[in-house]
Amino acid sequence: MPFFNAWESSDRETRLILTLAAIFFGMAVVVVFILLISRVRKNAIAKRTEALTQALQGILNSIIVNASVQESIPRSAFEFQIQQIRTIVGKSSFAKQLLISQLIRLKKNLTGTSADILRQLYLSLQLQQYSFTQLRSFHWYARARAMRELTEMQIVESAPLIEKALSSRNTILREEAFISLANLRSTKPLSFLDNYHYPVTAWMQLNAYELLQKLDPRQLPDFCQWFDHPNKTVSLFAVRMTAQFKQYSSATRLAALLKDSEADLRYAALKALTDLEVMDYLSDVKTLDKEIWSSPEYAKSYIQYIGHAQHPRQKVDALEKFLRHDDYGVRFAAAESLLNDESTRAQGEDLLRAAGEKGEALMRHLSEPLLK
Amino acid sequence: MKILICDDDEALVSMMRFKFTKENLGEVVVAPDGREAKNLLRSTEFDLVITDIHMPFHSGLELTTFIREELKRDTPIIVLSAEGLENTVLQAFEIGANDFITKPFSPSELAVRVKRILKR
Repeated sequence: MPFFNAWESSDRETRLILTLAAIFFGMAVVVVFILLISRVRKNAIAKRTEALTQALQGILNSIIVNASVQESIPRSAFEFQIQQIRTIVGKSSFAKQLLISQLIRLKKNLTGTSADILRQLYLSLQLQQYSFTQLRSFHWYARARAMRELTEMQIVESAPLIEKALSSRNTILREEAFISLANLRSTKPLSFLDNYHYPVTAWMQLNAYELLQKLDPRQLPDFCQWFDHPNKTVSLFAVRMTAQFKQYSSATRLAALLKDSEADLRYAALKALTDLEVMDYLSDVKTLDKEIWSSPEYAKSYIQYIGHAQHPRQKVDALEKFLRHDDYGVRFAAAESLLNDESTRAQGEDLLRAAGEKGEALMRHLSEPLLK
Repeated sequence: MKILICDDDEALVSMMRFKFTKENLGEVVVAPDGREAKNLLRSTEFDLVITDIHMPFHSGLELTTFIREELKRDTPIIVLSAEGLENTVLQAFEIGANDFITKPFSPSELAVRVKRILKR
């Protein structure tokens, strides 16, 4: 055998190089094979998805359009179409998930009878059972998706199961559960906050705010019930929502928070009182005079509050030091408050002139109409 | 009648196409993005354009400007927009849109608006 003879007669280095070359070649073949298999599988899934989507979409179109033309579709026609969908979907989880995604996507864009019929379809095909199964899935993304599905279809019975995800270690699951529960419990949208021990993230706050905005104001909770919550992020969220939804009745409770041991809560309460323009707590606000210096954001709220509530003479005294603050935004807020008020303008201008070039610059900024 | 629907939501477009066909409103042509819509508009004259505000490549507003300013056509335009985009809708009217409909919407309501515009 010439190959074996050559191998026998070759030196050690040549054998090593040949062995390595053979290993790399073998690995390359395996990688190419895996890539090919993966590509073929991906193409097959894409084709199946397209075929299923088209088949299901055709039936869904017919159901939606007929439902919007006639007040109610004849029961037999509806049953027939449901049977058609059942035949297409069969027992395939893939097909069920695809159908649910299609129903959800359409429901988000449609209203009235058309949206109602999509929910009816979801229930008639017992797809909520599939979503419930997914809610117990090992994969977090399947659970998050199931929460969205059950929420979009308003399956109120799913709330207790979703509530369990509020104590999940996965932040995304907690966030999804938070919004799902707020959606599902429309009469008491945030009642679950009583026993919520994890951080209320910015995502939760934004989405909760968006959802609460759509509610009838009479259904809004009294946010001050959570001011003393052991979870500080819940308290902060409640304070912010109090200001957003103009719950003036909570002003006294907000003023009490100005003396809270937590600095974040004191500042949030100051900002809320400023946003609410409740000017009856000047003496309480003034207790923060020294400590807000280090936080430009809250210093601006303080200036705004003092600017509205204070007597002109005392206002100048209180705001004068802020004209020498390191932060330009704070200096600007103080100068603006003094110069925009007829009763303090002259004194404000004198103080700014006395401050030299920095003060003159602030005056130029304030008098420039394009920069206002 | 030729209707151009510009929207990247396949399911919604499919439903609209089905609805218009069922109501015999005319031939429906679909563009999944702003670029495709511009190409179609350059080559074909449509009796109505229904466009979503948010689309890949060119927005519904850009498409409206394109029809009015570049093509100099007075093709009726219906803008589809999400809730809370009132300013965008006003902007669309300023640049020449004829009507708007807010998502989520009822297919019947859309059909009524389309019929009214096509009768003009």
